[in-house]
Order: sequence, then C-alpha cells, then structure tokens
Amino acid sequence: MKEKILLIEDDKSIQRFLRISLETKDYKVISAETGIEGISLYMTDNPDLILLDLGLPDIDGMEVLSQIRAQSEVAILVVSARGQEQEKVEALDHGADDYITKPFHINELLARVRVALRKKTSDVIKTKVFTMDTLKIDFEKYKVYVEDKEIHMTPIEYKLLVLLVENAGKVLTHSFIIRKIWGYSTTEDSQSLRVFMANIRRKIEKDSAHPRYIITEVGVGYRFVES
Amino acid sequence: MKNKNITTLLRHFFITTAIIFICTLVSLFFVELHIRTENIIMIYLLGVLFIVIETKQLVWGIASSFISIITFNYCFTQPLYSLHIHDPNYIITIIIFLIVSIITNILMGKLQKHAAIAHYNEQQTLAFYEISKSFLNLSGIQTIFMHTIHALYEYQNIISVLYYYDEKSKQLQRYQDDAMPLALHVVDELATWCYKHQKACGHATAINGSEQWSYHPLCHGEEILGVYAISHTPELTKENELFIHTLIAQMVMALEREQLYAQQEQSRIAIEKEKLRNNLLRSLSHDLRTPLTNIAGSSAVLLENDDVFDSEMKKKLMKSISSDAQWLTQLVENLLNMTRIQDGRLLLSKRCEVVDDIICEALQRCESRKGSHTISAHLPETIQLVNMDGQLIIQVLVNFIDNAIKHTQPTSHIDISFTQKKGKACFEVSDDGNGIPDNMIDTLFDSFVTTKSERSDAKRGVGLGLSISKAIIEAHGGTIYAHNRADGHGAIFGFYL
Repeated sequence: MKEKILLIEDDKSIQRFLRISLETKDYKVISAETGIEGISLYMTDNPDLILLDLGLPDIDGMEVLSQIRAQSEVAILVVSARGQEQEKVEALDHGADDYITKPFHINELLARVRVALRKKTSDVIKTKVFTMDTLKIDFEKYKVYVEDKEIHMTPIEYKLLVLLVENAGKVLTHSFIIRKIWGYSTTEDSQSLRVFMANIRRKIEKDSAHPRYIITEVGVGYRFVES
Repeated sequence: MKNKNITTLLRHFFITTAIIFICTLVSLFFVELHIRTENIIMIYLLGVLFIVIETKQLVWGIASSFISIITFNYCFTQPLYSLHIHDPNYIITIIIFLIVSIITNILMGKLQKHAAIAHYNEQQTLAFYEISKSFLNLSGIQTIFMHTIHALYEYQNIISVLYYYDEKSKQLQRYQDDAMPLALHVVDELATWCYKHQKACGHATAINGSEQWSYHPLCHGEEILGVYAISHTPELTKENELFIHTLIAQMVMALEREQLYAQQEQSRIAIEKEKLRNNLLRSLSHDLRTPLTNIAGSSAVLLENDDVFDSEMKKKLMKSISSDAQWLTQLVENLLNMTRIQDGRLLLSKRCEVVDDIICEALQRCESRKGSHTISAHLPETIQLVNMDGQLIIQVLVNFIDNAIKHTQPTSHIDISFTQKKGKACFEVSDDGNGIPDNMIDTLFDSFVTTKSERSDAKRGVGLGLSISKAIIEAHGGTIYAHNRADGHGAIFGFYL
C-alpha cells in the first residue's frame, strides 16, 4: 500500500516540485494551500505524514500543528526558514517530529520523510546491540565500543548517547533532552548539555570536525544520524 | 535691620549738621569781608544741594532748607541774632530760596531715582546677557533644565521644578535640584493636569489656588513641551515674575535648538542609511544578475533542447544551475543578516557555545561549495566555551571560507583554527592562495569591495560578506583582521572575541 503524504504549502512552484519528487519515490501526495484546507484534508484523507510549511496565508502554521497534534500522533514534518531557530524549537516542542530548513536539498527532505514514516510504522526496535560503522553499543552491558575498543563513558554520557540512538534520524531539542535525562525542564541553561555532547563526540567520533554520528543543529538541538 | 536704619539716620543727621555748620562758618567769613547778604543765601543753597546729593533723601533736603533759613535769619539779617526781619526784601529772598531749594530737591530726587532704575536695569540686562550666553554652551535637556533651576535660584532666590514630556516613556519627566528641600512639596498630579489642559494651576489660580506652588505650561509656539512649577514662598515680586518669564523664554529657545540639533542628526543618519542602501542595491543588482542570467539561460536552453542534448550536456547545465542557486542562497543569507544589523543595531542572542559545534556547522554549510578545495579544521584540545551569537559567528566563518574558495586556485588548502590568546577567543581561516593584493588590504572590510584586477565578471562576489562579517564581529565587541601569511603563501582572515 502506498503511503499517503499531505503537503500543506502555499507556494505553487515548491508544491509542484515537492509533489513530483515525492511521487517519483512512490508516495501518494495530496496537497493543500491554506491551513484550514490542510486541516480538513487531514480529517478526510487520513494521511500517514504531513509536510507543513509554517508560513501560511490564512492561519499560523503553529496553529495547524497543535490542532492536528491534539487529535492524533500522525508524523508531522515542519518546513521553516533558516535563522528562525526559536520557531523550530517551538515547533519541535509542540510535537512536530522533525523540521527541515528552507532552502533544502530534495535528498535531505526525502531522507527525513523516510525516517519519520519508519518511526511511525515500527516504532523503536528493541535490540540488544546497536552497531553502526565503527560504533557499537551493548545495551545489556551498558558498554560502548569504538573499533572494538571499549570507551569509558560516565552514566550521563551513556544515557545521552542511548537517547540519541533510540531517536536516530530525529532532532532532539535541548529542552527535550534535558527533560529526559535530568528530569526537569528548562529552556535557559543548555550549556552543560552542550559540554556533555561535545565530550561524547570527542569520545566516539574519529574526526570531530566532520562528525559521523552526532550532528549538532545549532540553536536547536542534536540529531543522531540515521544510517 | 533696625540698627542699620538708625546708623543711616545718624549719618544723615551728622552730614546735614556738618554742612550747615560749614556754610555758616564760610558765611561769617564773607560777612567779615563785607560781601553782601544776597550772596550768603547762595552759599546755603549750595549747602542744601550737597545735603540732598549725600543723603539722597527729600526729607533731609527740605529739613535742611528750613534750618538754613532760620540760621540765615538769625545770623545775617537785621536785627542780628533774632528771628525778626525788618527789611521786607529779605522775606522775598527767603521765600524764593525756599521755592528754589524745594524744586531742586524734587528734581534731584527724580534724577537719583532714574539713576537707580538705570543701574537696576543695567544689572538685569547684564544678568540676562550672562544667562543667555551660558545657555548657548549647553547641550542635553538635563543640563539645560538644571542650569535654569540654578539660574533662577542664584539671581533671584526663586525655587523651581521643571517637567519635560518624554516622547519615549510617554510621561512627564521631573527635574529638580535635590539641594532645595522645598522642591519636595511639588505635586506631580497638578503638573500633569497643567500639561494636559495647557493651563496654569496652583497658587493664585482657579484650580487649587491655596497651593504654595504655581504650575505653568511650558510652550513653544503651539506645542507644549512641559511644565514649570514655581514656589511662592517667599511671595514673588513683579520683577521676579518678569525675570522668570524671560529666563523660561531663554530656556525654551535652548530647548528648541536642542530639538533642531537632534532632528539634524536624525536626517544625517537617514542620509547615511540611504547611501548605504543605494550602494547595497547597486552591488546587489550586479551580484544577482550574474547567477540569475545563468539560471534563467541554462534552464531555458534545457527546456527547449531537451531532445538535442545528450545526458552529459544536460548534467553540466543542471549542475551550473544548482551551484548558482546555492550561491544565491548564500547571498540571501547574508542579506538577511544585513537587515538584522541595520534595523535593530544587531540584536545579538548571545550564549555560551561549544567551539567544536560552531566550526563543524560552518564546515557543513560550505561542504557543497568546496569543489576540489581541501578544507581542514584544527579543533581545540579541550572543550572550549565562548560567549557569542552562534548563528552569526557561523555566518562569519562561512563568509571567510567562501571567500577563500572564491579567491584561490581550485587545489588550495583552507584551514580553520581556534586558539585562546590572553583570555580572548581567536578564530582564523587561512589559505595557501595568492594572498590579498596590497592595494586592497586596507579597504577589505569596507562596504562592497570586489577584486577588480581580473575580468570583472570572472569573479563575482561583493565584499558584502566581509563587511557584514565586520559588523557582526564589532557588534560582539571583537576585532576582525586580515593579512597575508608571513611566508608569503596565502592569506589569513580572523577575529578575536
């Protein structure tokens, strides 16, 4: 069965180009030009994923996001302009699964769509060992290996890494991570988190200037690469 | 006060007696010389004049006239040493003497009064001159107001409080001298009322007439600027009120000058901005046209000749479209930052960022444009936190790297490094290209510099990126620099934070 994607985007040429790109990848695409139209199409057509542009002519994209999120857990991918980190963080904290920055590369968009759809279909697959390239995590023994050598990690660093791996491909905002790891929510002080992340990266990345595993989304959060 | 009165009284009495005594002595001497009595009365007239000049009081003049007549009558008219007069001629002489001396007295008094007024006026004019001169050198509303308050007190002991309507906070700003404790009794509400209704209130007016302070609107033409409040303890004289009005008028003039100056300054800034905008537009239209021409041209060619071109050819054209689109993206990015800089004097959202993240992000953004250039990064040994606006600093690094990519041969090496020097964070981007031409090194960060040495279209790229970088670093309070490498191979761009 073809997966159905709802495209909420007011710009016609972007809409056309996204539709063509998505359809060549065998997705079924329905599209809306306004927020209201988008919400009603969501109600009637029950899509598997929603691509939502935050800048809409009628209502605020954030409004569309929270209205849909209030009813279901459908995957929502937000499209926003660069330089508006606050908007992205807000969208993620309001339940968007991921965001992509305009102007984006189509391959990047397709990858994000794939990740978001897979998350919804099979959630997290519980395995005992996670391996990617030279990185290996043994969940049962709480151990991390790089090139088969054991890496020493503090408990918090380990928890952080596992959280990222479990949400691979997805951006985790600073406040989300802090809430998950430290148990309280704050948007103010993410400084210690950033120090922890930089440390983890130094431990697992071969060349930390060109990270293989953990990507920093400056001003927003972190993402563990999908593959 | 009383003592002083008595002393002057005694002094005047002494002067009068002394002069009449001298006159009598001189007259007696003249009688010995057989000079006629008609001349002797003249000596007394002279004496009376002296008395008026000295005492400056009509009373003493008239009193001395009578004393003179009695003395004259007693000493010099027949019969001698008695108050009887035998010769009726003397009676006429005495009456004329009296009339003349009284008229002289009155005239003298008037003259003296005029002299006093003239003196007072001179003092007043001098004071006003001093005040208006002193206003000329003042700048700033606060200084002008404080100067007025001090001048009122210094010259005439008048205590005052001034209010000025502040455009920004939309309310009356109060100015007072804290050394004047009476100023505490001023009621802000009455001042506000006065401002709103543009009518005087307080002391001796229809509104709150029992107050010790009066409140007057501070007007300039039709426009109301604020309020001035004057204390009426002690009671003000006509001269006081005149002085206040004149001084306030002077102050309004100074304020007007101040406003004019501010307006001038604003229009100067506006012109400056306009100039910058024009420069920007000019260089932009050039910078936009080149890639747009390519995008429009290449895509049109592709559209029309779809079946003629082989896939190799198509790919080439599409690649150039894609790279120009990316270049435009970068330009727009810089423009966005530019508007941020110009609108709000660059609002930085500073926080501690990990240096690794910043450099990585900058590298990532340049990845697609680097072509065959080699870009490497030297990250610090330990984890370094630097307080900055991450997005903007990344943009600066991207601009530096882009600049290096644009201006060096395709096989060059570009290196990014970070060091801590004397407590300052230092980012550097160095390359092994041909270096910066000597004639450009000084103007590199000025608005919109391009390399003109080669074919003008061969290398596009306004110094837009560099001038924005400079603005960003300066907004951080840092320093930006560029120089050629000591070994002569390539250039170094960097900044301290």
